[in-house]
Amino acid sequence: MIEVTDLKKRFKLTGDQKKKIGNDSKSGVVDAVSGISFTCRPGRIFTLLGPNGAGKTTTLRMISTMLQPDGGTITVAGHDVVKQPEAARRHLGFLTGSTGLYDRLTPNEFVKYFADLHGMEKAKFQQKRDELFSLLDINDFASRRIGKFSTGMKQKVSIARTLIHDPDVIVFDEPTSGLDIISAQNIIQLIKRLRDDGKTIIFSTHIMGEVSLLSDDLAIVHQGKLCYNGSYQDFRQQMQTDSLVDEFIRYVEEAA
Amino acid sequence: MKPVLTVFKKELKDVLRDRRTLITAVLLPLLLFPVLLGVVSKVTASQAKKSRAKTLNVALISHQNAAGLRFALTAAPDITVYEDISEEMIEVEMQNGRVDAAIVVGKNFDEKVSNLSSGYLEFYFKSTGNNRIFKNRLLNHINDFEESLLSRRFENLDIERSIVSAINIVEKDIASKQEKFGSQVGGLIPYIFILFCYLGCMYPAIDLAAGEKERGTIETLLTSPVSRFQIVLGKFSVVVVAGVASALVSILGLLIGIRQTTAFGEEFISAIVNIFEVQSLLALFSLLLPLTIFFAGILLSISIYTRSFKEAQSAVSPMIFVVIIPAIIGTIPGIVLNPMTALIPILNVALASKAILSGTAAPGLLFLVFASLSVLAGISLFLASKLFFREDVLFRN
Repeated sequence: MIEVTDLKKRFKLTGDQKKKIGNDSKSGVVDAVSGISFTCRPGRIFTLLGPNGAGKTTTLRMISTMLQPDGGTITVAGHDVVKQPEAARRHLGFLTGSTGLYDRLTPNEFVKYFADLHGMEKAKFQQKRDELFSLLDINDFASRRIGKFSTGMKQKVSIARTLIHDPDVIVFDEPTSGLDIISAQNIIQLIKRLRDDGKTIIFSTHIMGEVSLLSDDLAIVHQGKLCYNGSYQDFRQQMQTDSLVDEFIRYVEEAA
Repeated sequence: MKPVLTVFKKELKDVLRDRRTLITAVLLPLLLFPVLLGVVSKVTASQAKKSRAKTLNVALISHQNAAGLRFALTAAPDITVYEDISEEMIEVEMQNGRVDAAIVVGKNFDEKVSNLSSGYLEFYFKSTGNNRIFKNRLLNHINDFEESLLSRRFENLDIERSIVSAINIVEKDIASKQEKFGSQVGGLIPYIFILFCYLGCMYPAIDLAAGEKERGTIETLLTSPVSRFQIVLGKFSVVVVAGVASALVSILGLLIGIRQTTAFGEEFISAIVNIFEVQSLLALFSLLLPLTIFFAGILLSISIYTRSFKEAQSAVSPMIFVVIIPAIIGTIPGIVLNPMTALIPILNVALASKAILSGTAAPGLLFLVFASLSVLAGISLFLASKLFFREDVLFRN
């Protein structure tokens, strides 16, 4: 379970950033996230949909405790991310499309490292490792160094790393960006599977195809605010245009 | 502490598999001195031997004077005398290599000498490279000739030759071998280990922070249930280990280099080996450790602040000069450890090490160096961990 209440985040812009986005306010502060609230439930996929720069990554980074909120609260599996960040992280798995790996380690070493950071017991680790390595077909290259792997192979290792400690809550930040169709499809299948296992899943995207394939709940975020928050089913039923893309644009334009 | 150890073990493994780190932190300091000293001493020795063995070609323009000198030179087995060269051609013939030196005897040389005044000799030579050896060899012959003239004068005057020396100085140098060594080359050792300590820290520091950011692995690490301070501490320890290891390996390399080089006399080798007693090694190590922590903290801070490996590299590479300059100043004779220099980082280590190696280090000053370095080391570690908590720094991309 993830509960987000009135979440706020402000960023101070550097000189270069101000020029880039044409912000000439004296304070140089932008509201990346301004007061959003939503709930992600176990066994459901919560999609965060929005254009680039809408505040998706910032929101997910706050949920994952990488960034500190400036206002509002977030609880992950019952733990407040500001007051008990380490406890929250124990229940959390995090994966982005741009997640890197340590090229000089092998998948075995890489996954073991994160299991150790999570303080996993040996027997439990072994069992989970075997399960994930078989599921993801990693065994053939488990003892080779990651540096020479293809993107698909790396993605599999990343997934194994994300799931090794069997997290209840999994955050996917644009998990398919930069992946080929087959690797992207594998991720989609995996997310569904995790949902069926009863995990709480939040995932961000700007790809409409993924929205329709995966969403149980949907939030559209634009300029740091939510312009839709509800079930995907309701969203479909309330559609006033013919396509998802048009409907998404309608929401964004209305909010503007 | 367990998470720190986990991070430490992983990062150490990662760093040990990095060719760049292995080359700069281990191979370079280990091999540099054996190879450098080996090559340099062999080449110098063989050149010097050649210069000593070579038959010297000397132009002599005697103006029918100084028959004794002419006789002495032609009789010397290691000299060939050329008398067919005119005074105007001396420089040309020396430049084109036909002769190595030339002697022009003054026209009234014999007359002056017999009148008990000084005969005039012009001595042409080159002061470069091995020519200095030629000059000395030839001067010896001239000095012998002068001595024979003087002896004759004393004999004619019926005076003892020894009368010209009113004082007989017998030098008694009470500096121990260790002190001599410390003041002569002692400055070189700290210079070397300070430099390699910095180089050893450099790549791991860049890789473990800026590299982690560039690869996009930092997010993954930050979402593990380990505190940021634990992560920094784990990474920090690896950088420190690399720096200390590199510094120790460079000293080992220097010792190997000196031992296998025949150019240094036995006395020198035994002196240098003797100074590395357990006590002085421990004292050096007690300075090396806070110095490395200081370097590691500064380097890691820069690395955390920069966006990419390249950016970090271009920020820390020029800093080598900031490290080298105080280390070089430390090798200048006359600059010694005192309550003021003990507070200047890097210079204080250079001077303190020199003092330790010469066996003249004052415990109070050593403690001052240690304490001031420890304070700086603490500040730099604090800075690095502070930066690791700053969102705008970690997510600058």
